[in-house]
Amino acid sequence: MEVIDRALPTTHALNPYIDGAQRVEDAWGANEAERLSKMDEFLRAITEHDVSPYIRQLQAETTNDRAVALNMLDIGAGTGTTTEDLCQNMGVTYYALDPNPTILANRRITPEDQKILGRSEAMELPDNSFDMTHSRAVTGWSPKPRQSISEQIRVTREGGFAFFTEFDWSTAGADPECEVYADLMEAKAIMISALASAQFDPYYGSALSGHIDQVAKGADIELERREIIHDFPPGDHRQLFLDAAHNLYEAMREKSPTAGEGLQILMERIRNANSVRATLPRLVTQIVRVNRKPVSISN
Amino acid sequence: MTIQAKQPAIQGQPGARFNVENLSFDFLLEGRLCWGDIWNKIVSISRRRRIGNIAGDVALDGVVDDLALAEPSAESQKYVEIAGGRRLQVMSFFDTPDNREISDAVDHGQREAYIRHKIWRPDVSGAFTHGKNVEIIAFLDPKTSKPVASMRKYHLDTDKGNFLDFPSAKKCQEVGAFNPGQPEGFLSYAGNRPIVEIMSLWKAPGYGSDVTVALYREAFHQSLERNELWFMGVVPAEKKALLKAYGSRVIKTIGSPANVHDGAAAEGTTVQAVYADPANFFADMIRGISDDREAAARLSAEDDAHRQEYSALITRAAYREVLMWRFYRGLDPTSLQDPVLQQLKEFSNGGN
Repeated sequence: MEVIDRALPTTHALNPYIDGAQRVEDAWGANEAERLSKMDEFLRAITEHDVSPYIRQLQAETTNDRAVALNMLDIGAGTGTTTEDLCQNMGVTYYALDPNPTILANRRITPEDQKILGRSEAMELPDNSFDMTHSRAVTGWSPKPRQSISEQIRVTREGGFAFFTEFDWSTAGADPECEVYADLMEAKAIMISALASAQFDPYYGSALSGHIDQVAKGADIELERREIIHDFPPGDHRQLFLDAAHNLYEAMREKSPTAGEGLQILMERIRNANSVRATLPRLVTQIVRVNRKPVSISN
Repeated sequence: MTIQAKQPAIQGQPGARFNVENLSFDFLLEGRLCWGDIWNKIVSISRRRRIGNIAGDVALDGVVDDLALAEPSAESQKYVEIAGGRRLQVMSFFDTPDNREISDAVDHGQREAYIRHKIWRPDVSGAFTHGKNVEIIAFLDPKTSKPVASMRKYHLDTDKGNFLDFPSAKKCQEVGAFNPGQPEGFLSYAGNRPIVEIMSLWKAPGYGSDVTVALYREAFHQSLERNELWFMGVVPAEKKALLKAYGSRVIKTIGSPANVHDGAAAEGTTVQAVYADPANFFADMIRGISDDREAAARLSAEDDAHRQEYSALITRAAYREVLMWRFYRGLDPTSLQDPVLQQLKEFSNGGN
């Protein structure tokens, strides 16, 4: 067996795209749901900032020629409610798509007929069927990210908006003057190795724009694209960091006990530090307006 | 029983200072047995091939096989904390008559490890590299005072040292593993800095890769303070393990693998000279990590077909970063050169 393979935490079960993975059935799913709910304060602000202006724009554009409410498909909806809440507040009909039936069943607010079982890279939905589509930390998990992007654009109607938000860990780090500098950096590296070994792309936020442009070019689609970068505001965000680390620890401790123990020791030190000066991963949003070229028919 | 090591007063700054004029090629004056541990390793490879037990021996040779944490302590009596919350006492001493008792205890543990890993037959009494030029870094179980892991650093005599006095350098020269001018090139790189040969890493059963990393780290911190350069003669399994853990930016080769024409070595067994520079360790690690990330980014930009390869590169880069921070533990940052500190700072802020 390869040394590097032996060295890494076995975390494939984290990835819902890998066959056989049942994310919600294990501790990862439940813990992740709880963790994300703690992040809602941050994510809600990001979602509202990124999405609400475009909802208003579409509402203004469609007032004259459409009597029905706008709709939005939330791809890889998971357990979060920030997008759904925003849609409710702004009069948009919300649809949740997720590959996991248990996650969908647990979404209590979403009406049953607005829950869709499906995968981002192969949605069994008609073309042009949603005014808006939204995915957050979804494409970075996909083994075929360009196909996921292509699918999201396909189901977004002409003139509609597709929102993609992904993490970029390349900007995450720690201040060398911080008392737990090496602990933070090592914990971050362990977390990245665990996520990457599960085939999550921790740097996908930085690759996203290039992939969207490639998909558009390959499909001969005209897009308008706008990028918004969200850096976490300065502050001691150790609890968010520790929550994420804790979930990965729970996921890896059974099959990689020594790696898990190492991470646990680091977490304890970070938890007990007087102050923590760390930079959290950046969130990158790409807002895409779909303007498909008319198909030319030659005689 | 408590074994105390005594540091010889005569050593001063260990290691020899070289220039090209120091070179002589009288290595043939000494017999094969003086080749010591490298010889043993080559014999071991021949046995491993026969019994198909490479993986176990690779672990013995210092490969990190998990990510357990081993922590240096700041107490006056130095300890490392290893997986499971256990503590090991750290001792560093020269192999002089004053330290005979602890040196014998290290030999005993190493001999048992070599027999357990089928490097030595139980009925063979091999010889480890000994003498006042040998510095031993050992971890002891505080409850029993017995060594549970150790490694050796071979120093050259400061006044009459010769690069080819290193057991591995001598063997590499003997089998033609150096291309013309390569030892001189390496010595030119070394300049006036001391060179040490790193050898003989072993650990007792029940101790994991965290102990291996901690041993390397102890030797690394020591060498950083002394401005020492590391030289090693490695057989293929060792080289593969070192390259996988640290990468080719850190583990640099001198010359080419050469067949060891010796009755006890398996056909095709090779030895190769490598070196690592502790002063540039962090800079070299960062370069290797950046290489992997950049290669991954290029794959990602192509198409989705390379996704697994991409993940493997990102995973390896993260793994090496973990190792890098392990080596940072317990280090006085002022012992690093300013450009290296600056690179670490930029790396820590995401600028890779």
